[in-house]
Amino acid sequence: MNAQKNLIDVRGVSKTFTVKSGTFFRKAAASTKAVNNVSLTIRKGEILGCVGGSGSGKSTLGRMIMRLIEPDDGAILFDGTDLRTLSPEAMRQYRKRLQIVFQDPLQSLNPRRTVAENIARPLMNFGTSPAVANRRVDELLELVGLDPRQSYRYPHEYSGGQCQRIAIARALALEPEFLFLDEPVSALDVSIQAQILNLLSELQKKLDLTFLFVSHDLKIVKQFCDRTVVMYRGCMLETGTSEEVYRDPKHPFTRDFLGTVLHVRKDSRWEQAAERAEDLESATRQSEAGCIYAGTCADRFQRCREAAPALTEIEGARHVACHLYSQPKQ
Amino acid sequence: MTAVSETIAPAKPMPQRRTNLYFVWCGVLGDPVARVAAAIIILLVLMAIFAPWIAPFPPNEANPALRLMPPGTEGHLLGLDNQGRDILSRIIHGSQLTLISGILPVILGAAISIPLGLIGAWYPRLGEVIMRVMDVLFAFPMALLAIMLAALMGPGLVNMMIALVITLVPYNTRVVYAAARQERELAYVEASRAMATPDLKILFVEMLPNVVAASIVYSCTIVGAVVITAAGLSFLGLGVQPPIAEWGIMTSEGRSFVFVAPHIAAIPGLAITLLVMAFNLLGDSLRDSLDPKTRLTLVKHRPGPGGG
Repeated sequence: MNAQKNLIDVRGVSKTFTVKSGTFFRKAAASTKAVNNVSLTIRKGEILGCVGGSGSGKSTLGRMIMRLIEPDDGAILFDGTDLRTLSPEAMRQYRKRLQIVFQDPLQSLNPRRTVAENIARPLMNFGTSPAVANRRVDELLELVGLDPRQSYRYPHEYSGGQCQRIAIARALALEPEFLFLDEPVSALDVSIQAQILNLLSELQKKLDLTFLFVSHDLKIVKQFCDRTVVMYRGCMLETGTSEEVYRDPKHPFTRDFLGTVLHVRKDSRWEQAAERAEDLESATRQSEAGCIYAGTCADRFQRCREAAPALTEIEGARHVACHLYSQPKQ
Repeated sequence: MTAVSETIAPAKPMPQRRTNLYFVWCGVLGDPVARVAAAIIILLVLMAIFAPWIAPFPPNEANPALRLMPPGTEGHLLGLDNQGRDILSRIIHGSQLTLISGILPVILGAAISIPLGLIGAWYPRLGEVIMRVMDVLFAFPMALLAIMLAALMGPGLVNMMIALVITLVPYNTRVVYAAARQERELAYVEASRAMATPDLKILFVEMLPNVVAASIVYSCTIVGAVVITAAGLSFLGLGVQPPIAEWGIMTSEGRSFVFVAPHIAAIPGLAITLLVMAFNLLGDSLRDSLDPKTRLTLVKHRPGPGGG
């Protein structure tokens, strides 16, 4: 398993967002721990899924790897180099190797630039001549299955799925090794979702890419990703191969989260998934010291309130942060 | 979204790239109101340029025998003012200074406030400082601030224009700042950062075209207010000095005779109205033709001479 080396190694990163009030003399009014001491590795050529409800810090985590958000703490190693210690110029060069695809395809393209200009922009940033860039734009558009002859059009003339293809083409322009996919299909129709996912997995094989795939849809993650990380309120609760996490969720949160997926019961009534999902989001934290999920957890016991469980290894590649597994079964 | 697939499916040979100018051209030609507005502005500009040749009389030549005569007097189409000067000639000559004092401050003001607003929106701390300074300028009514500044610097055309520029900056800066703040939150800006676009390039290459339309439209609508403020300054003796012909001065001079000979104030007043209206209407049309989301319909559904 260690034959493939780690492309990305995130070590204990944290990020706290503070809402500030006042104009000149700013003081913290409220703060949220978006990501709390998260460590993970992504192997070269792997698709790592990251699931969690809204506000679980999964997008923040990805943006910190991209260095679009500066972490408060911790280290992010990309191919053995700590990105946080790089000088701005060195980081500029590293940006070629890490790219991002956003959730809203239309918003992520500049509306006043043609599709060709949008895709050529990253190339121009690194000194490619316009003629070479134009040829590359045509190649890229063909790669993602669009007609290069239409590249003088503006993004809003395309549909959502086509825009997402354009965004993918732009992300691939600099021949990156790593793509951060920030819910790339959640704004699209189900039929288009499949097309985009197929395109992504094709490209991943063809170009030997590594993905971090953030989503709130466990079903997509299960099919698309090799390994899955489950996050809740900035903490990593469970990791493992996608198949196993989906089939046999260990952490109580993962089980509850799987339960929020909407489905019809036999008597053709909708399961009360929404209510349960709301429970998950609104639960207040019981105490600073205890487990982050202790407030809502059905399986909680005394220890959950007293100490936060560490992420510990159980059977093979599974890691779970839960006291149910960190101590001998009662 | 069906329209999209229809337009993309046939691979017609199309022009490689359609510039903003092309869309402005089509938008203005396709819209009858904008066409009239543009025609009025072009006519006024031509009138200003060729004033010495087309005006029937020198602007300050007085004929006391015919003073206060109404429009339609023999040889004086628009009548004569209180000193017996031909109003038509004065309108034609006055268009020069009126256009300069109305348009130049707006252009200069926009040139200052667009970078200010963009930089302010990008760097929040600096933005707070800039916007609070603008708030101080905002605290004074536009005319009052212009009067104060013009009085400080002394009378004269140049000083008046400097005063007008300073007065205009806060308004336009706020428009740009608000638009840029919204724009900054969009994903394409974050995407630009992810692909290592330098900050200044994000501001002035990526964001500027999205923000500038708001400023252009606003600038067009404010030309009218500036013409009027400039006229007010001239009236107070802080701008252009009489007897130089300028529409604002002409209006205020005619004020004393409004019951005896209303045409002296009414004709330059109407000229100002026409100018202001033309700019407002053109501003509306420019907004449509500068926005990539609406401008395609302009080209498609309005069969103008340039469209297709």
